[in-house]
Amino acid sequence: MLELFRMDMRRLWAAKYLWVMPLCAAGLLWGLYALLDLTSDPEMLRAMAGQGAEITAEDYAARQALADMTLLGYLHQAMFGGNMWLLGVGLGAGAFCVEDHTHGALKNFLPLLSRRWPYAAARAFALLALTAAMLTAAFAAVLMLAPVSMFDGLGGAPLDWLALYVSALLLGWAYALGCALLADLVRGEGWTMVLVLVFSLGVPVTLLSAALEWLHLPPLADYTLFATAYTCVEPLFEPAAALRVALTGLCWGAVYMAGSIAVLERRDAA
Amino acid sequence: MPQTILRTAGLCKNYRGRPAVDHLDMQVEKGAIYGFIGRNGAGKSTTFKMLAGLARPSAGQIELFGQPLTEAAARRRLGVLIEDTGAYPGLSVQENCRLKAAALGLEDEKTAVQRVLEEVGLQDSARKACKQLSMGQRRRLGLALALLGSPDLLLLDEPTNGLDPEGIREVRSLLLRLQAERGVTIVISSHLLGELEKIATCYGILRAGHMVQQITAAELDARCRDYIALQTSEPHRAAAALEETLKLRDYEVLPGGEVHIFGTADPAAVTAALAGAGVPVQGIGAHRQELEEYFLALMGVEEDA
Ligand SMILES: Nc1ncnc2c1ncn2[C@@H]1O[C@H](COP(=O)(O)OP(=O)(O)OP(=O)(O)O)[C@@H](O)[C@H]1O
Ligand SMILES: [Mg+2]
Repeated sequence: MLELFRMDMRRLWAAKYLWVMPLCAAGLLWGLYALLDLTSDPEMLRAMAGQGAEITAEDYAARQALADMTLLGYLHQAMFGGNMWLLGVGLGAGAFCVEDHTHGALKNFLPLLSRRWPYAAARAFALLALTAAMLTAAFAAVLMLAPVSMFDGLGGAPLDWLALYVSALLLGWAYALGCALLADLVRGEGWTMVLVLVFSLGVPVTLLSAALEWLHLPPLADYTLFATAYTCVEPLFEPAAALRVALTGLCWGAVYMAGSIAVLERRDAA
Repeated sequence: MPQTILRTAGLCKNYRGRPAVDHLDMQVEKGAIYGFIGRNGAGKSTTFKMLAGLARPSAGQIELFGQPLTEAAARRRLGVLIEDTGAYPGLSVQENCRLKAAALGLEDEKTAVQRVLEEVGLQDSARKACKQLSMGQRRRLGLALALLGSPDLLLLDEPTNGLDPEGIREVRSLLLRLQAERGVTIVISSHLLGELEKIATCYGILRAGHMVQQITAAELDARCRDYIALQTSEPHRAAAALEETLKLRDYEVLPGGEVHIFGTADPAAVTAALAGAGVPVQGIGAHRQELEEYFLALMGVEEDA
């Protein structure tokens, strides 16, 4: 299994996942910041008004709202406000995992294994590394903004930062394992990526929660990774919410892992 | 007594209820170059997939190196190339090999990769991305991946598919060298029967998923007999003359006036006998039954065609 893990890490590096994905994460956070800065700049707004654009008092107030925000708040909002974090991790993990199936690379190393679980386990750790790299880049990118940002300081205690990091890591990893399972099931590049997109936009969770409500069943959809990431991750450390995030992440991670192993064991690889 | 490296018993694989491999019994001895032949769809690749542990047999047993297939140690001694080469298209030839070397846990990856790339003649394309390779180069990469880790048993599914004539010759000498120097056992499927004939020490003939015959090259040689081919406008009179004057019984009259005379008859004596009987002879020559004919008959091509 160690050899397979080394192989996966090698591929993460050689196929550029390990630095392109983190760079994308950092770039997106910087880009979003630049966009917010630009569109809320009072001078910019005045100039736009001068050119005949309709600028309301609300637009001017947006600047104040941003200035009241902390860096931690910005990071949280950018990652979990629209669950962009899960989308990013999902796309990376899905693309990485489906390559094994689409180009038949599996048949080079599966003959070495008598069982499938070492492959799934090695891949899981590689995905953890990818998630951690992306997350670390995101945190670093936001911290780098500290000296120049329009925000109201870093915000939060170290524990809050740590809690956000660990929550994002656990949920992101579990989600990556889910995308790995998706790749094992679909085995085609196009469909895997489309489905990752659909899941990451929360379409199935929205449908599920509507269906449950309509059937007068308990709101089980709240326990999905998507809903947990959306509602339970806060920029303020709170033990109960953190525990729920941790449990949800671990449970779904285990379920997806078991699913992958079962699918790989049952289905022919070629 | 030669050691059996690979043995299957009652091996079956059904796809949606239809058998692709049907109670296959196969046996490969150590050091053999085993030519695995059969028509398109006979089940060769499916058999390879099961031997490599990529597809689950519907029934039957597989033994590698005297151990069941589930033994991890036995699997490490296996090198496979099945159907298309499996490689990450965005990565270079070298990088793809390094990945396999990492999976094998090889000590000196760099040297090992360099060596196999030289063996298959890809050393000059080592840095090329796999998606830029030509068909023959992809095939060579597949061979290189199979050779990594110095396997004791090679399963090669149409390894020369897409190779140029020189490449085919290189692969042939490479396989012969592996067998001679390292005692590697090789199971190779190919549709190039003439090519296979040059290296195979035994054959397994597959037909609709079933083993029709396993035969060594020596046995096959004995079965493919010499004969004299005679072209005449009156084959039946010729046959009568041959029986009468030369006491020949082992002959065959083919449509179109051709007569095949098996055994040790002398062409000169045949000509003289026929001239004596006044049978016109348009042509006469010594021949050898082609292996191809032998195989084709067993593979079931003739009767279905
Ligand atoms: N994944 C699959 N699903 C359904 N049927 C399959 C599958 N793989 C192979 N078959 C069928 O099994 C039979 C044997 O196929 P196989 O690929 O083993 O033939 P082959 O001997 O390798 O042929 P070729 O010389 O063309 O490579 C064929 O009829 C094929 O259609
Ligand atoms: Mg085939």
